[in-house]
Amino acid sequence: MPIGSTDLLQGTLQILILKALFAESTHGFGIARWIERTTDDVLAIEEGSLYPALRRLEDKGFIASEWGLSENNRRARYYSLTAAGRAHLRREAAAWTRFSAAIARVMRAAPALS
Amino acid sequence: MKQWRRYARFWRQDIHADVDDELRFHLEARIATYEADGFSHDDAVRMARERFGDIDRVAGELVAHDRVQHARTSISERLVHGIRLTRAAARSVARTPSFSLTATLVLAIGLGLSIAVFTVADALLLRPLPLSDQNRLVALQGEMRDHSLDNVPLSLASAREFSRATKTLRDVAFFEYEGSWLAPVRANDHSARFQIALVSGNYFDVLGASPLFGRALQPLDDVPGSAPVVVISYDTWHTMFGDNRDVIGKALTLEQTGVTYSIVGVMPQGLRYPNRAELWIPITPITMVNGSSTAQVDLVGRLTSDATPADAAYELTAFFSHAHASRPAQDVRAIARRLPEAILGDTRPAVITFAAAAALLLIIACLNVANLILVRGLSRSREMAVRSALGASRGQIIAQLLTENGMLALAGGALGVGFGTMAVKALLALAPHDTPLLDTVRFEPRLLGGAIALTAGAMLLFGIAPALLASRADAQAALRAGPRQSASRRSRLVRELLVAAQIALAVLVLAAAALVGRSMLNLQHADLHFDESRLLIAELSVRYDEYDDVTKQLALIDAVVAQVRAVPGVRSVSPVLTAPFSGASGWDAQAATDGQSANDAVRNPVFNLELVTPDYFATLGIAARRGRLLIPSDGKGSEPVMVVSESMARRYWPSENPIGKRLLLGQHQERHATVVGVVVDTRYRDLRDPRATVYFPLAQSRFTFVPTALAIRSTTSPASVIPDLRRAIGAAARGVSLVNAAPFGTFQDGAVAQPRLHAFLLSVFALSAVILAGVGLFATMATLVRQRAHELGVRMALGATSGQVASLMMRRGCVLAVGGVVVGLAMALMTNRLLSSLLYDVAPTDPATLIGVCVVLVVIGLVATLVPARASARIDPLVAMRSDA
Repeated sequence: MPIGSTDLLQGTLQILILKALFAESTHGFGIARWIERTTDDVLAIEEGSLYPALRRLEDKGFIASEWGLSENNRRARYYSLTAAGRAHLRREAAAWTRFSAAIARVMRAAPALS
Repeated sequence: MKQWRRYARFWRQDIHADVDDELRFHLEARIATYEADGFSHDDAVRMARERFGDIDRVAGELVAHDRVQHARTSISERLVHGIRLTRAAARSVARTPSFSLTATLVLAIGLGLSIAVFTVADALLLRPLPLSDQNRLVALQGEMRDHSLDNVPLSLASAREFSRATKTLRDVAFFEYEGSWLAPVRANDHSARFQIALVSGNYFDVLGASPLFGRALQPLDDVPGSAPVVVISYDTWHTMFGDNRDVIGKALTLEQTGVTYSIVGVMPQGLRYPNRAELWIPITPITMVNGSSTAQVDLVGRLTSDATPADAAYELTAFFSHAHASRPAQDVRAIARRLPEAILGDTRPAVITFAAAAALLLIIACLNVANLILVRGLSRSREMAVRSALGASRGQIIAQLLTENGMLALAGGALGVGFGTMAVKALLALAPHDTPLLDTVRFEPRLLGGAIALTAGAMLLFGIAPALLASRADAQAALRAGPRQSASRRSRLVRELLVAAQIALAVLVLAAAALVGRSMLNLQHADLHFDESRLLIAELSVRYDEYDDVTKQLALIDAVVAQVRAVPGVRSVSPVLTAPFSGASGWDAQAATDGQSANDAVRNPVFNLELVTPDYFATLGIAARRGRLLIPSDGKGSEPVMVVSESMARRYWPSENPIGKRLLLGQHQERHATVVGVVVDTRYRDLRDPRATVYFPLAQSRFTFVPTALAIRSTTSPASVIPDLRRAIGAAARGVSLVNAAPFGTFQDGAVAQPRLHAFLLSVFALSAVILAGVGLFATMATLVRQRAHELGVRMALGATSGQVASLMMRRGCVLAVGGVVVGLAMALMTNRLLSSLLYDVAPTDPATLIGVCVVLVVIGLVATLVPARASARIDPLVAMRSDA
């Protein structure tokens, strides 16, 4: 079920993008496909929202972009992680893990849901 | 996205287009996945858009964001970008050394030669003289309508009368007929010959010339009895007095008169008028004889504000009808020339020709470089296409090309300036010393700047042409197909036209050089009609204050001749009126035949006059064609006789036997002489034009002038006789000395010096032009072969022999060469008549010369095509067909 971008925090989208680029440097569509595959299409985000997020990440210096040719010789903008981006990703991943672990403990706490 | 924005993306990164591209890519990729899943195209599009969200809003957000980012680019970032650009350009230039070197050299040659010629032309033609408002000054002189005499002067009295009566001239000054003459002058205990001009007191005032220091001549200096003063030229001051400021008051003695003049002023650089004068002396005191001046003068005047030179000439022509008693008015007319033109005289056509040749060469050089650039542009088309596909805007690509070409232009320009400087120095060294204004040649920054700007501009323009020609579609095609198909027909045609144009221009320059060269050879080998071997000419200086009448002068000449005859090594000697090739500075006369009235007689042609002893004919090796030569018994008491030349006989006594005919001479025809012999016309007086001459025996002379030179035939080498000659002349009498003696060859060299210089300069141009055009053709053909390698490979695989392939290429090259030659020939036929004033004895459209030029260029074209054609024959068809680069 598609979750609108308004339901996700801005920062979450950015983490998704950074992790996608950690997996492989690619263009905006490639990032969308990676998220699609990895979440088994659970997180089908509004794809247009990727791009402003990419811009903001670039402003912060976490990613870099350059124009290149795609597999079928089309012009596309490729993004890649910078060292700063990698460091930020690690920090945020740790925070997310702690956060989601905390949520999981809350959900498991008594009384249990059926 | 709006389509027009795509075309706006020219000079800088177009943010809209980039955003558009990025989002479009995403959308189309998503559509493709839906279609791959089986959806219809329309469904896929709808679903993709839905999934994307509000695409226009997103695009707007991105554009706004990118704009802000873009504007934040700081100066230092731009600087870094600029440096990066320069370094990339430098690397690119260094990657193709043969192209870069060739382009730089071609540019340097064209630029250097052009700079040199334009610098000289500027000094000679364009730079103003140190006078005020020089274009309002006119030089006026009379000439005979039938051109029998090209300078008819006024007497000083008449000239004064004209200057009082004239309405077209505000001020009039006079100077002695013919301007200035060379005479020995002593200063600082050093004797040398200078060009001395006799001028009226108001001369410098009329010209508007202010002295560098001291004062100019004034009307008060120009009255009989005034203190003798002289004004010297800048160059005289420089060479004789070494730029010494206290030259005012120093003494200068005119050796011919013994009078000492006091220097009162020095004129600024560049003033050498009239006739390359170096010293100016007031005319009236020096020409006084029995209370009145005997001077014959020409005029220079300043026009009133609404008069033209033609008006002044018309007024003077009318005045001549009152002035000259001995010639009826109708035959004399006045011509007026603006002073700058009058000074340049006949160097003007030559300078203009060289300027034209230099311009042509510059154009050829530019075309050549353009060709090279286009060729290089083609071989880089793949590189350009990739960069374009990767997002480099046209503006960025052009910026890189401009930088690259700018570097080459800079290098070529620097080299060209250096080369040009050397060329100017060489030109100055080679030019004949008497070229007017030659010493005012110096570098003009604006000229340099102009020439460099022109070439750089051309180079930059031709550099961006490839970028402009290539369109987006071409880029895609180039990426797919590889370079062998990226040579569009349009660009190939442009290059071939460029080469053909170069060849045509080279024909023009080569034709000019060939014609002038032939002229020079004709002049050098012109038959003088006398024997110049072992001939020596000596010029004398006589103290006219001691020998103040003709009788004394004649006696002096006799004494000198007798002494010289006794010198060992001298076979024969004769007095002559002037040194060889004196042209207009010689002596002329006019006479009546028996039975002609005075009025009719003035229509007779003017002839050369010579006063000689009988030895003259033996000395020069001239034989009698009819009748006899002069003999010693043609002396004072006997029948007055003369020997005439053939054309003289033809013009005065056509179809009659001239022997025994008489000429009547003198103001009232009180004298006569009878023809006793006819000789051939010689070129003693004028190398270009053998003239009608009459030889009178010196012993019978009733003229008021005497010869001041000697013609000597020696038994051994002429030069070896000179020291003894000098001693003999000095010993002959007081007040006479040898001022100049040289073998005849020296005078001849002097007469040919200027044509030889012209020929030399033009051949330099022609050689450069031909080399450039040939190289251009070679480069074009080589490129053609390379680009058609694939096609030629196919042909050969299909059965064409290597010979057929080679001849295919040869044919292409020959078409180019012949086409260029034909166009060049047509242009030459149309424009060569402009050369005619430089030519001697050769028609501007001389068929032999023009055919020769065409043949040379066609042959060069063939040779230039041969090597690439043979390379084409050696193509391996398999390699060629497979090749992609």
